[in-house]
Amino acid sequence: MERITEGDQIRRWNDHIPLQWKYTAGVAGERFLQLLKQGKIQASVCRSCNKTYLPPKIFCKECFAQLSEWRDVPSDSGYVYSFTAVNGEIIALVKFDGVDGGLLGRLRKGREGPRIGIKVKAVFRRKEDRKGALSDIEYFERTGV
Amino acid sequence: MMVRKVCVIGAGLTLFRRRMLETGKELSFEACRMALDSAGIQRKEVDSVVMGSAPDAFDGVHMKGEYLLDGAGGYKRPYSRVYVGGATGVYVPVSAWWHVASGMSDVCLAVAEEKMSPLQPHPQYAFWSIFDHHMERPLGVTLLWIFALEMRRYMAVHGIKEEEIAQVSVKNKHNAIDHPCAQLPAEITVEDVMKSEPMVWPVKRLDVSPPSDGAGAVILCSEEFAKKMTKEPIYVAGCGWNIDSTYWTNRDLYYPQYLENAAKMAYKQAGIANPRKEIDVAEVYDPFDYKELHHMEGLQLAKKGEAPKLTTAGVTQRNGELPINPSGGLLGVGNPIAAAGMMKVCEIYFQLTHQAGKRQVKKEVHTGLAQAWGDLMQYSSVFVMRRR
Repeated sequence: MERITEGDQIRRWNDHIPLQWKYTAGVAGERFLQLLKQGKIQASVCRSCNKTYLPPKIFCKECFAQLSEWRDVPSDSGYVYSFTAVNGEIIALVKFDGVDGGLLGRLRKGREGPRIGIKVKAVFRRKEDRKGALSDIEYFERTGV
Repeated sequence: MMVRKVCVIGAGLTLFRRRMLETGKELSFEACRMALDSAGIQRKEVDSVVMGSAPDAFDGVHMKGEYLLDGAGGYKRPYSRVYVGGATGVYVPVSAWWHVASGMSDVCLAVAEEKMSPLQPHPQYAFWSIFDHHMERPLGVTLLWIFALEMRRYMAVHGIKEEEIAQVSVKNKHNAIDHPCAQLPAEITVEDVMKSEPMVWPVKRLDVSPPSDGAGAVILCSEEFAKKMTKEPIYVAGCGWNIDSTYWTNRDLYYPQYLENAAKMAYKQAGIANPRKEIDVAEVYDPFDYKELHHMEGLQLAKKGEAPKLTTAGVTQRNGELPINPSGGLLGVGNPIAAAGMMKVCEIYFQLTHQAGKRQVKKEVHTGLAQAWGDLMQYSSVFVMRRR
């Protein structure tokens, strides 16, 4: 084994792997994103395991039942589970009462700094600006004390 | 070798299609759910899960095994992903077999998924970087080059005509008409194959299986567990796997010796001395029509150069003496890589349990074989099942 010290004396070249992807959201994901476009957050429900999945799934990962029941998750029922600061923005993992899972999003800075446990609501973009994407939720903001 | 007897008690398969709305997780779930229902068990009875999926590059999700796990039923279970390229689908139940044979699990769920449609401009591009970066890639080599060179060499050594090879595509696409999951079932003629668009001579459009999205699953379990679930369990009789040199320039292209090795490993375990007589039905990996012939010979189901003659004589038809690919194979049902191998395992399970419906072969079947082929075209996995 020899460490390369004279880089110019050996052959080397650049190459690349020319790959691109066209992603789709799937059965649950497509429905979830269409609902976001309408300004709604919904989760799928497994009655037998008492689980509510957000992001929604078409199956229960516990009992493996097919899930067809969905329910509204009120957009103002969130709370900050954890947060961090990235490039001057606050990124929060927002959970919702009685829901398993949660959503990642930007947290709008208020007068007071963010704290774990504060109640937040999802603020949607204007209807005409929504695209059926996670970014339809522009940010989360504090709802009160 | 101190191993427990292992049985197969259920199988499930999704539709194979060029582009499915379902994510890979959702496809995996559908296949697993069907397999669990077919076995009559729940996920809570599953002790471990083996997942198989081919390159991450297809789905465009790195660490795909981890991504797929909740759809594959792996949540909070001993879970692993195995990957041996195109041979993955038949290697998954092999891996599941040792989970049960070793006594580590009583019930192991084996699932294989492939979602090829995300990759643009074509799934074939995933293979761009499998070739040696200074000896092969500078020429702009693609996977089809190897297939063309292999097919040509096979034809030259035995004096085989393209028309003889085309019969395989005609047979398999016809068989697929009776498969409810099939993507490209068709009534075609040898002439249609010959006239189809040349891709890399002598490989033509209708010599090739289509890229697909799909998933399949089987449930393996101990003999004791199987006897509680069914009066007539299907046993895993033998498993084999083997690999040739990394350098395809240094292999015998006309004959897959590595497959002979894998087959003999499985036959030894299964106590099979004369595979041509003792194997009643086989699902042989057929991403290209010549590969079915190539693989029949490697599996010792035909002598070297004899497979085209058996095909011409009708031996490999569904009502023939040795039915090969009664499912319709990859050429007819479709080729979602890892899931395609699993489709073959499912088909043998359906044949042995008389659940194949219109696809049920005419003769009585006791022993069946599924085989897949992959990595850099030098790996083979073999799975033999038997009805007592």
